[in-house]
Amino acid sequence: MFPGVEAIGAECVAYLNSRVRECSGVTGPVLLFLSLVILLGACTPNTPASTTPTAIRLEPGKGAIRGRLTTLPEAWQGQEIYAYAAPYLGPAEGEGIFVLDAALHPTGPVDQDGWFQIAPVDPGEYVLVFGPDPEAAIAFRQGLKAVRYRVEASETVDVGSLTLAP
Amino acid sequence: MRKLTNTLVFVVFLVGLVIPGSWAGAQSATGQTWTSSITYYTPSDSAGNLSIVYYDGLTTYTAGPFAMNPHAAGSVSVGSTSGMPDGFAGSAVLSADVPIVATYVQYSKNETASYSRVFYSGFDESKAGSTFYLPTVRANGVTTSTVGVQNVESFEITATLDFYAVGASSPTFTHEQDIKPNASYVSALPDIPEYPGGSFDGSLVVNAAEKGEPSTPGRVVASAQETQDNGRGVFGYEGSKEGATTAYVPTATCNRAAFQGTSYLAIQNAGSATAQVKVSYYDTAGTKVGEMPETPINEGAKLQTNPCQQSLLVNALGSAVVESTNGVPIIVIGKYATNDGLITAFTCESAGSLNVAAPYIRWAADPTTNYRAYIAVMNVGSGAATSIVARYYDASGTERGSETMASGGAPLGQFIKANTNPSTAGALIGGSFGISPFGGAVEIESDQPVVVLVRLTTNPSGLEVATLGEDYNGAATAP
Repeated sequence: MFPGVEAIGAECVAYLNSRVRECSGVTGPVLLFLSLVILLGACTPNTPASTTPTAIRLEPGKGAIRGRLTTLPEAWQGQEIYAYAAPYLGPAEGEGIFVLDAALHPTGPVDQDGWFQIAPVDPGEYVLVFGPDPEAAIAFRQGLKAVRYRVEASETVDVGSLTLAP
Repeated sequence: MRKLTNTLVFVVFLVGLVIPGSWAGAQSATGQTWTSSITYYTPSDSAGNLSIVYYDGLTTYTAGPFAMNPHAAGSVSVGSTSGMPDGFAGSAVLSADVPIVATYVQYSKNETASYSRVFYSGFDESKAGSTFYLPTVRANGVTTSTVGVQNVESFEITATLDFYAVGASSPTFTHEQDIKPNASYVSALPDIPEYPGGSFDGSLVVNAAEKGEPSTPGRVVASAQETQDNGRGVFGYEGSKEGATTAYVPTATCNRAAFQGTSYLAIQNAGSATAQVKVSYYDTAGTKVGEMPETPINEGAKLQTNPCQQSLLVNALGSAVVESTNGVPIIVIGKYATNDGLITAFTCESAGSLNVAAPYIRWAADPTTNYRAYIAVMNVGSGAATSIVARYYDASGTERGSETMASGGAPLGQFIKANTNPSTAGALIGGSFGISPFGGAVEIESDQPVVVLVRLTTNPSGLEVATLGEDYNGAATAP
């Protein structure tokens, strides 16, 4: 097991969104990951200049997730792409599974520039999954591990720029 | 909170670990990394709740309860957060406070459109048994089978897996496996420690008992898939706890059309004496066109046949009835193959139902991008059916179209099949069904017992094959 790696996603989210204080314990590996994310975003030459996402109006007791995909797989070109928040089931420490039912779980479209917003989202831990439908979708992973994001009530988790593994 | 125990459905995930480099073929389904989903449908007119418990042998994960609309058709994909190359490996138990049926769906993780899929029907509790049969398992250089056995008991069991080569009267090799409650054992044949090596073509019989208490039977369910070692085909089927003297084949043909589609039957003797077996073939007009004469099958052995052997249903569609004429139980698996890439498998049912549902129905506007479902409905009652209606429901449970397949003026005769699909039923939404929004099902209501077979095919572009697809059975539901 690689507990340091596992924590990367959640810590990264905490850093990128407004909950900066949750990142006070950021470790070496986390900083390395953040650097990679920034570099990946900067190295995407054909991505249009960023625009400010539409503000999310949060429902009481709910949260939201937003971010941007840097690139889309070739096979998805021309199709409507969705971002799904797939609930994580398993222990807080260690690994588990995530499940996705497109009819039940939070989702939002990915626009042509890669921006996505998912709302409303019940508080909990999620894996982000992207694709034209759940069967063709890809989970966002760092290395081989799916990155987990914690959503709290009344907070929007900004996951920043994400690059899907090829 | 209500306890969701009215309906239980068991599903084994057949994804297995692939040893990198084991399969060098450029298009090896055996070497693919697979992921899975469970597609469910409730035929209930009332709203309900669904929970799914996943077992990986070490940990139990509970999802839900989720609210379901009446006639809702959903699909739950599952993945592992760990670094495992395949998706979730294990088993699941679906529980609901309304009737549900479920179908297992498995697809390539990285090349979804470039490989076929596995479909098989989930098991309700009545289908579990302490003896279980899988009539065809192989590792013959053409295809490689992966078998999955799930313990449906609340106690740990020891399952004995006896593998019989074709024609063998005693097991060719045996593997014993302890399985925790609701968990499963899944393995490709060559990875079983006792596998003798070389080529194998045969069948599997599973016997289970409580661990340490051999006199206490333990119930299991089992399923199998075959992946092509040098092709894009993969297919699966659900096993049976017992045989029957009759099995119905909703679709049969010989060398049909330019793609030379042919149906194949694998008939396993599940009794304790030699079975005398015949196969009768029917065309779609209601005429019995001929039969395979009575043929003996030794105890535990398997017979493989197809209509071309008797030059029947040549370039024609039809159906078949397999009978054991001396009362010895048999189990029948149907397969269908074309020369343009399609290869499928399905379990031939021994009885029909007045109400049948199929949870995974899709119709792509463009068949090069996704699947289309074609549904065969075979009347297995004692007389002509004068009322058969297929109703198509979308993910939210809204009826999107229906098709009358038999009526007083146009009855469907005994042992004859008729076809329906979302397009002919007028169920399309923007040219497609079940694609967007994701999810869709069909429910068949008949005045005679019917068996239902769903064939999903796609015509991918840019591959060396023109057609990919697979079959699965509709599930009997309460009226």
